[in-house]
Amino acid sequence: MDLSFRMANEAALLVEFGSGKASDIKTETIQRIHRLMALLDHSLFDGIEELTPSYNSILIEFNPLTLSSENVESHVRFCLESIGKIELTPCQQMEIPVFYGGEYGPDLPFCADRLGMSVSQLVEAHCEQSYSVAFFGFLPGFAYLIGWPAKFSLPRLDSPRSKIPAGSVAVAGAQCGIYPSDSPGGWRILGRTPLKMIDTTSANFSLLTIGAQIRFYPSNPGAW
Amino acid sequence: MMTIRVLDPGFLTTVQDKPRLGLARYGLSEAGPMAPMSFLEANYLAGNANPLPALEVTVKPPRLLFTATTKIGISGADFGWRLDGRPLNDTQTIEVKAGTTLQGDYCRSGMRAYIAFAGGVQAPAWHGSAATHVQSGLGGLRLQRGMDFDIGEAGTSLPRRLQEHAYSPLYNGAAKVIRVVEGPHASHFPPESMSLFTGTIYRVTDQSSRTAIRLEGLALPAPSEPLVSAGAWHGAIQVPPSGLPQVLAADHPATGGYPILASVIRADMEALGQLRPREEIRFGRVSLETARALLKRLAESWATIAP
Repeated sequence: MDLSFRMANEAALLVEFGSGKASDIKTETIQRIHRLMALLDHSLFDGIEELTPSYNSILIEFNPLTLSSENVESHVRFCLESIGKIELTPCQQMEIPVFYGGEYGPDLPFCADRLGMSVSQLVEAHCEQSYSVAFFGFLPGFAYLIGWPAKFSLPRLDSPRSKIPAGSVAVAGAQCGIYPSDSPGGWRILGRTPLKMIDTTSANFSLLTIGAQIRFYPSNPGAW
Repeated sequence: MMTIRVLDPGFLTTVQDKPRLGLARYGLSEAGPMAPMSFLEANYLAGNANPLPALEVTVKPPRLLFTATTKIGISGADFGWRLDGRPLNDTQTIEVKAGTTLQGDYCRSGMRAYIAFAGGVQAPAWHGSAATHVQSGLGGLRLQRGMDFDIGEAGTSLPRRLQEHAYSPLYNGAAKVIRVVEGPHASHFPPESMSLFTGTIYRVTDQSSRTAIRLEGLALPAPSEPLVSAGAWHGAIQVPPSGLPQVLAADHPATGGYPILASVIRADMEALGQLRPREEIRFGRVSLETARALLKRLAESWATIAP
């Protein structure tokens, strides 16, 4: 697999997998990134300050007074050599209840219509898929989920809504996401989960972690 | 424990602390002081052995009533600070008597100052830091009118003094130069982009914040091919389709999809954090080696003050 190292500045190295093209995002690349993150976490390499993963890269910020980019690069290469040999803790499995449609999912009828299916067929299709958390971005705790099939791609809204409620489960293109807090947004909202995606009082800030395997199931507010 | 009453919060006064690392993977950037050298100086003057949570003051200062006698240190932009109307010398440890009020004026140059208290602001640490991420409201504390906050015990450290505030670049009317290194996507831009970027004067807009410093001036040719989102960082200079560069700051989005042409060197973070709206600046390109050497020199000069 292609691998490139680019200096982001004197204190950060961008490690990129694959061609770097949006069309080239593969599940195996994302898994490789998650394994590398776990290895970097466990290797306790002094001077690495922050790791920011994305679909095809990890930004590694380090202390340039104690480490050089060559030190960091050779450590990453060392980790990649061990990547197949180390048993990682199994990824998080999560079932997420969703109130589909109505006031909770205002775009459900449009999306069903657009895809030529009934509302219940669309809900079924959304729940049938298994998703994984590729990375977080846009907002603190906003997980980009992969697993929504490209054949079900849906366009973003022409003009974003000024407020999407926390917990909204939405799709755009071949991506799915859950809004962790009230925010503006342009994705198509299918429903809402009553689960708190972020919790500042918990030891874990985010309910989900990168690599988490997710399934959605239909629920209703009465059950909560 | 001693209490400070917020008579007026100013424009934006927040608790800042060392950057909060480790949550970027959940989409939360590190926050922390926008003008890090002034943050260190203020803590040093307050007598703290290590930097403790302090107030970051922006543009318009707060008015604070002290209910107990303590020591503070102030550094950064010049807010014309006064204690009960008496001008104070902010190059040394300031003794504040119970019942006095600290206030100032709109800052005359620069953008931010820090008020550090002996023993630090008692804001709860969250994931290792009390820094306020203003953009999301997560962590730390933003001062509100009428609220009280606690500070630690003053301790017995001897008063401290600085020859000058050596690290705050003051506005002298000339375009300030902020130094940059080439960014990771520079090769995605047309070849002349970097020289266009460094050869022009940009003006800071009033849309600037702790999230990003926005600039107006020459629009750069932006790459046509979209990029996959990647991790972002404090100092990254991204070029959106408008062609007007934006410098990501302490509360930056954790990831972004705009190409990054250049990055402000770490040694110039203080200068970046002191930029004020309508100020004119220029970017000067240096090599990675120079960027590292300048940071090393900065760290060494600070070590001679606070070993």
